[in-house]
Amino acid sequence: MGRSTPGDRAFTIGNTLLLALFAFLCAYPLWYILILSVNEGTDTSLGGIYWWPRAFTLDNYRVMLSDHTILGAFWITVKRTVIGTFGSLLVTSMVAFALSRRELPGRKLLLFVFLFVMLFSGGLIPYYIQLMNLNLLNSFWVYVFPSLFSIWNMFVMKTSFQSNIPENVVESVKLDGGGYTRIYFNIVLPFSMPLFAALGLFTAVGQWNDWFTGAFFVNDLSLQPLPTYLQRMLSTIEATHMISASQMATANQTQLYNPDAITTKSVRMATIMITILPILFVYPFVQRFFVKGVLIGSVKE
Amino acid sequence: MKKGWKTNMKATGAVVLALALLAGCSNGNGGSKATSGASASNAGTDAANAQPTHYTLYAPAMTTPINLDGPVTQEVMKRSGLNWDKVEIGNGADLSQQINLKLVAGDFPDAIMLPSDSLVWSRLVDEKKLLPLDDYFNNAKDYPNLAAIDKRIVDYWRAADGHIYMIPSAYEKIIDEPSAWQGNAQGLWVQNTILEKAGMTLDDIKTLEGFEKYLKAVKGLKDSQGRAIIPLSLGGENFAGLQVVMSMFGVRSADNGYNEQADGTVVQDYKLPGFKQAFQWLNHLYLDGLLDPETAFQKKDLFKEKVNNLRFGAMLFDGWDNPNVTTLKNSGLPEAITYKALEAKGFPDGWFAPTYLPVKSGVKPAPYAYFNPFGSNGTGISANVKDPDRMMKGIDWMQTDEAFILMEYGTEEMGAYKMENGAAVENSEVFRGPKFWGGDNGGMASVTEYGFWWWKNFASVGASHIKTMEPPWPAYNAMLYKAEEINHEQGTFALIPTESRIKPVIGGKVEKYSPVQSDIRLQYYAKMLLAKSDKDFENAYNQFLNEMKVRGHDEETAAEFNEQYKAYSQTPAGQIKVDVKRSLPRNVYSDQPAIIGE
Repeated sequence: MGRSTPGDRAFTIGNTLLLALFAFLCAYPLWYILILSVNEGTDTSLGGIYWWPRAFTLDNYRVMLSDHTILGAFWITVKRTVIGTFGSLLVTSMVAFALSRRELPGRKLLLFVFLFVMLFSGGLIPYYIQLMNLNLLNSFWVYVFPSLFSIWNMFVMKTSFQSNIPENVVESVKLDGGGYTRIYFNIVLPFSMPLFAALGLFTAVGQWNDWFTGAFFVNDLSLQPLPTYLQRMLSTIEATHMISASQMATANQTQLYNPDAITTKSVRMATIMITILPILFVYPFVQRFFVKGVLIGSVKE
Repeated sequence: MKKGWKTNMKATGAVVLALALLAGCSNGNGGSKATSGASASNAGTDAANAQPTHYTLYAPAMTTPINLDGPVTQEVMKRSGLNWDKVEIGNGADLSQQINLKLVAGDFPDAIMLPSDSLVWSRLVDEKKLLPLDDYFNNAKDYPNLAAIDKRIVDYWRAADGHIYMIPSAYEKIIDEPSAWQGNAQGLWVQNTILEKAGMTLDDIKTLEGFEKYLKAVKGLKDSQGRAIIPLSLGGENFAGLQVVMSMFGVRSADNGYNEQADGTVVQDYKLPGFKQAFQWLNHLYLDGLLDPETAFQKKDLFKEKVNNLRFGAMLFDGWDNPNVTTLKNSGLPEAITYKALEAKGFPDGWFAPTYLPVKSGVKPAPYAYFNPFGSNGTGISANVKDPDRMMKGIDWMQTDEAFILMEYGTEEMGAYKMENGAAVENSEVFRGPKFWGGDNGGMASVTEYGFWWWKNFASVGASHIKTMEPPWPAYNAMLYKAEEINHEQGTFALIPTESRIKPVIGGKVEKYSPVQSDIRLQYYAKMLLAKSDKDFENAYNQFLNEMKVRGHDEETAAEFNEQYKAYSQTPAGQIKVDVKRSLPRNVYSDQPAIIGE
């Protein structure tokens, strides 16, 4: 370890400053949303809030969390995220593994079919009819089954398996008498953990944020996930404001919560925080997989 | 050994997961039952009806669920004799999309509630999903309250085939005697402090020249924080106040901007000379630094920030986002202060008041504040409903004053009102308390839980003729009312015109190209408003006309609309005349409660 040169130090300082600036640019919008979510809505509408809340309140959160059905919605979201993510990784990676093997009969045709349906979708109504015929409407499993197989993720996995799993490792398992199941579980899965972590995270975030499925395919409120619940609450708050405006015709002040605290914008900010915080906590747990090499200790040529 | 164990665990985990997923297959409808806390065992039955009814209702425009066991809901069901087994609400997304899926699924409900201007009505009629209801509106013996609905309202809602398929709600009970407050606060609003600083009065700005003189006097003034006052704003995003400006030049620009001509045809607003003159005027204001240039592209949040910081000298806008509540608060005055009390005390600095619109000389201002007595929502009944007469009997009862008061205030035992001399007297403490509109769990949560307010959307009369003891309005709301009074006086208030009542043909040119035309408008409005010179303005204006022709297919849309307009004008709906004999005033300017609705 020699002493660093002035050039090295200048680079380190410049690099640090640049990355710090970049980190700030990423983090500040989130901070801005957070402070607006804990500031009184009417005060926010005066502008000039950049670093700290000026009129602190938790009423925006209270409005969104006051309904007892939120706990059920939260639980539904957790369940669909966990089952949907692991299920999707398992099914998609199995298909990807099969399609990564050149000896698979009809492989090219299958790949073409998958590519085609990835590029051209049937549209909402045919999809709805399909779900209806599968008896998936108004069922928890509508969150899981349709997303079990992701063609995009399959192509990523297939490419990764083909380029990162050495053929001689596969051959050596075959020589030892192992079949494809053993290759998949003993070689492909352990070797692809960083890939699974990355795709799993994207899948989990997609599952967590998806409000559309709950809104259009599930009308039982007790089966709706958190984002659908929050979206519905936002519409309701907007409706409440409109009613407050019309109620003003009856001349009394509508003492709805703290009327100064609640505006559509401030509630929207609180909603964003409620939605992103839980999934944000998942990142540190999967981050370690991202930095690991793909083929640590696999084979020595 | 250890590795093998791990592998086995992974394999076992995968199999368990797969089995769990498979198990889901056999439980496809797991946990799914009726929505919205619906209970199939509603106890409420009308004494007159031994057999409870079992209907389903779909309200795709509502996002507030309803607990069918709620006390007010139960009472509404009991008195109407309509038992609802299931009420399904919407998801806040596009209505057509939601209903298309509903139609595909084939589980059409017994009744459907929709906004009265929804295009979906035509679709449901075309697909023969709805029951024609004409006979019920003509049978005064069995359905006296439905038959009592003004025939002009019934005509208004007739479908293209001449039948009526919906029961309107929140319509004016006596159409020629509507409420004096219809929510139209659009117009010119001026800040008192700035007017005073400019050394002018409201009378000085009644002409276009006087108004420009005022704007020029405002230019260069600073507020208490040293920021330059912006002389004029056009309101929030997407040129919100443009229809007020257009009115000053005699052009109607609402709803695709069709204007009726002397020969009975309609033309688009931009084909009229006033349209170009209005934009030229705005462009000159911009070039002279008299108009907020951000009006061309700002979001509403930014506009509200500027409004609440009193940055504007005048606003041509919808009136609703004026800063008077904030001004009262900043001045240490109670928000609920009445107009009378505030007038006696003196209006605070920064107070915005509506005033008469300056109009180009020789021009009659075009209406922009419309009055719609025909109802805001409607309920359609399924063509396959069991026992439609019974359903309509219940809906007939819902048109009564008794039903309205129940749906507004709950039962008298709940304490939110009491009847005194034939008028409902509100008990604010209860009505603004936790079981109605207030408290920690208030607002819509209480609507869901208890069931007041919600059912008015299903079927009810408007509030105008319900005798109620009304507390005085707060001063900031009185200003909104005043704006509507001014609109009456200056001729910018009118019955919703025929041009606005026509619904586009599904799949027609108007439906197809209206979104394109709206985009072109927004794009070129900004270009015309921000043009750097008269020459640039001419270029932008000519490009706008060309774009509307080429990309917006405006000749085709105008031809189609004219055809519809002509046909509609010959229907009973197209010939409706409303002659407002008197309007029912509200308790706006006094400082004591007063009975309204008579």
